Amino acid sequence: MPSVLTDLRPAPVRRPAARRPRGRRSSAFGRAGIGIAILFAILALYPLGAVVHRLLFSGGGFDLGPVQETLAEPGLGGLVVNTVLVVVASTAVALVIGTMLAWVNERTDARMGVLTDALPMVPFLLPPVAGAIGWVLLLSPRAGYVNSVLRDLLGTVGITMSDGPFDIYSWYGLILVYTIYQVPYAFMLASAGLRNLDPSLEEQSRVSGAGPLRTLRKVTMPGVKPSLAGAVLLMLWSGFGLFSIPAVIGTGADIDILSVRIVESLAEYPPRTGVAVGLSLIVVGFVALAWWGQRLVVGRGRHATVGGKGQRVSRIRLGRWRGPVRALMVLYLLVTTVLPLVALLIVSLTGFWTTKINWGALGFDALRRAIIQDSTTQEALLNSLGLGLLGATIGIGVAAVVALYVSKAGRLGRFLDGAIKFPSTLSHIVLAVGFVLALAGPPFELGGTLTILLLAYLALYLPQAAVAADAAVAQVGGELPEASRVGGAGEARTFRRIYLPLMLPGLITGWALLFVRMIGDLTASSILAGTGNPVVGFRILEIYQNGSYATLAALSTVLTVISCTVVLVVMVLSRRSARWSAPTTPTGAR
Amino acid sequence: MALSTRFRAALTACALLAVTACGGGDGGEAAADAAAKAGNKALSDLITKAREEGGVTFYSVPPEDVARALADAFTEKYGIDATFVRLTAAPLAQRFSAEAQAGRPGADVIMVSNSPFYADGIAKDWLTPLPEAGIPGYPGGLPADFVLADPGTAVVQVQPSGFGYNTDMVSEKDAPKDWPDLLDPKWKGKILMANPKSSPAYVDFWYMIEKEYGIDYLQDLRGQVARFYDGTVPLTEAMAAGEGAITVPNVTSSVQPVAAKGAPVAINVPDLTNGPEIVAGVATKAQHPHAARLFTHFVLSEEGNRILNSQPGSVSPYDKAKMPARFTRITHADAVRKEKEILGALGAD
Repeated sequence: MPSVLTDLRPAPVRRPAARRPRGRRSSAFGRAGIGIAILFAILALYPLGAVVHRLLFSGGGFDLGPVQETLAEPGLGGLVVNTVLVVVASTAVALVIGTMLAWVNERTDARMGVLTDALPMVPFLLPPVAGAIGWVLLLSPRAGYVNSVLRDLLGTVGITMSDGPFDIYSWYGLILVYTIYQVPYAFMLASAGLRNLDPSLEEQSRVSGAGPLRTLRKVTMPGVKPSLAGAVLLMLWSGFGLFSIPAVIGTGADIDILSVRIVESLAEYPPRTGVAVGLSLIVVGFVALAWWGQRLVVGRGRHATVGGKGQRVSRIRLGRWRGPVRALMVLYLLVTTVLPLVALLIVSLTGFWTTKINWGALGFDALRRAIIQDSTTQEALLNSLGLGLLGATIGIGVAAVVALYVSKAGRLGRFLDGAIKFPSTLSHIVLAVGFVLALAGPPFELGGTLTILLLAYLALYLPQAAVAADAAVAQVGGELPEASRVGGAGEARTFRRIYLPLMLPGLITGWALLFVRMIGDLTASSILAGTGNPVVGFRILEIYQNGSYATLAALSTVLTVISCTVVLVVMVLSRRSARWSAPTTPTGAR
Repeated sequence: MALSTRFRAALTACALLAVTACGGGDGGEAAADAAAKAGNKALSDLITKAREEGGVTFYSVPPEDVARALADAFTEKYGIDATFVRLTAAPLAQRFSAEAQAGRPGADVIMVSNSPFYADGIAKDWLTPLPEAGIPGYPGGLPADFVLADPGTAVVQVQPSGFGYNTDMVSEKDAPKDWPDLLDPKWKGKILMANPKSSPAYVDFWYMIEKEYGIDYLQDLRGQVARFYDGTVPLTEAMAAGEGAITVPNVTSSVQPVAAKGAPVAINVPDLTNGPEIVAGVATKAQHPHAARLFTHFVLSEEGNRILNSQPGSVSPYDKAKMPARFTRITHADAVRKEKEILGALGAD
């Protein structure tokens, strides 16, 4: 299959990794890159070391008790099977949905501007705890809004039910919400991949007589493989780490999930940190497996990369299918993004969850109480925004440098690459405890500061940025940088004129991902934020524990609006910077 | 003797004048004066030193409104700023212990559910036992039942648990009032329960019921329960929406605010019950050690304690008359011995 590609390419493709130019090792860029990578590796490993130290050397000497304790954990088998089932099923479904949405949006005339560009991302902008509650509000067997409406409709045709027809507290309910939170990863990376994939390949395939489906299967899909592999990795990664969704839905569905058990074992007193770390290591195993698979796909280097010649996209005309395809897309967007948001809004306006909505008595009381009358929440919003902007910028910058100059720099590079990425595969709670142990007290005295939050966010979310950056680098390929060097440009100039512009769409997407994750962080913030350094995630948690759904919904809606605005701006920038988005295209779709 | 006391009081007053000259509200000065006039040198000294520290931070399990009222009253009385972080028991314990291990507790005082965490904190010297903390006149007027010599703390708040119910689905007459009522067949599938695994306090709670009605009762109750919820907020919201008719165990502090917004919810507290007990503790490495002791003194005093318990549902130890007739204290260590059996009977293993 990939041979089709090599035949089509003007020059044989070689591994980008094999393309290390002479002298790169000693270049200032390379050295600075290694230095930065070492710093970030320490940042990620040091707190982890603090936790492991406390775990294995708690009694002064080496102690394997925690490992035995983990293996003796009741129901361990079922716990692992449940988790893998939910995560893998949702990842598979999300990959199909996300890739299809991206393909339709990037390659056909069914695209509808910003609507289809940005809306698939919205579930991602809603903090998972709010999203999960949104779906509980919709699909609870008795009081769910959707169920209530459906029962009323069925009642008109003579079918009466006291509950259902849907039940969020079920396997399909849990997988549904997981899937909705996974789709944005697939959509984001597949879109970036498609945007950067040399469309002349697809053009040539079509000119050679292959139909759209054959072109999709034989040319497009193999071409975006690194992006899809990155998406799968991110989805598995985040899927194993999702805590709020299984906590809100899994408890009621009686489905035990690893992340919840990890947090539970830490929430007990005394906390069973040993078991928590042990269970986290199981997650690490799965993520490592996925990571290895992704390296295999990206490293093989037989996927398409950006060639040296300019191209423009010619969109496939769907003809009479355009309407139905658009309708399907809009339906998906309505169901996954608008419905839960509307449910949350209704609750925020009614003041409590009820199906007997008194439309005349709706009010902004909850919103007022949650935002305007609460100075802590305002401070938290400002802090979160600042941390998100700063953290995402530093994070994506470091990820780009590591992807370009470090991960390819021999054994040390690979070690540093892994050292930066590995810790975040652990439960974020475990790492947050590590940050307190390592940095809150003397000599650093960072407890209760915004600095400790920034450092923790970087350590936790850098790997997600790295996956986006790796995919961006992999796609630049070798032709253009080589041409630049042959043309006599130095390392800095090649970086500025070739790598940066070509990687920009991928990096901007990665930036948005980091920003959204950082301002919505809940788990690490629950341990590291406080009166001196409140952030939004921390406030949401406080409200979930001792507030009301109405206040929570109000704050989540505001957070979603802010994130939406930022991501929309970023999407526009990303499109502008993509080389191929020429002002006019043959279909005139832009 | 009388002379020396008066002399010391005068000295304190002079010292106070010097301090207040450079900041602080008037409240503090008056309070210190009052203490000095009453001949309570220990207290007036403590006020002076606490005011020099200028602030106090506490972690609070009691809800935001009362925590804020308490902080404001303290600031007004002593001219010392009080800030707080409000969390539920488990994250609060987790947070405080991580900070204390790092040698830098974020709170001077904690008000947390009475749990093994507290004893552990004292054993590890993160918390100072209140009798040894040098709190003037400890335990003050607090009824002896609520002064816990082991591990060295005092109960500052009690929240008796009960049966929440949806008033649209259950009439006041029908609403369960005692434990056997919950087994009525008409409630089958209509009872929502707080996940017994989500807090050690629930294990204590069900242990108390098991002691009275036996393990069969818990098994029968399990057959009535539709679903577990993690925490009383989602539990109460679901009940308000009609997802279930009855919630157990629920507390007034969760039900009352939802009812105040017009939701059809109410709560009955049975005679045999217990509920979250909040105890106070002073951080050994408090950033503001004197303010920490002064604040604890305030919370233990009848004045401060009434503010802490001003919301319906929480009962002040000073208010024994408001306690349910058979409010039953459980020793957690006893409950733990039957934990597996209890969780198994409730289907939460």
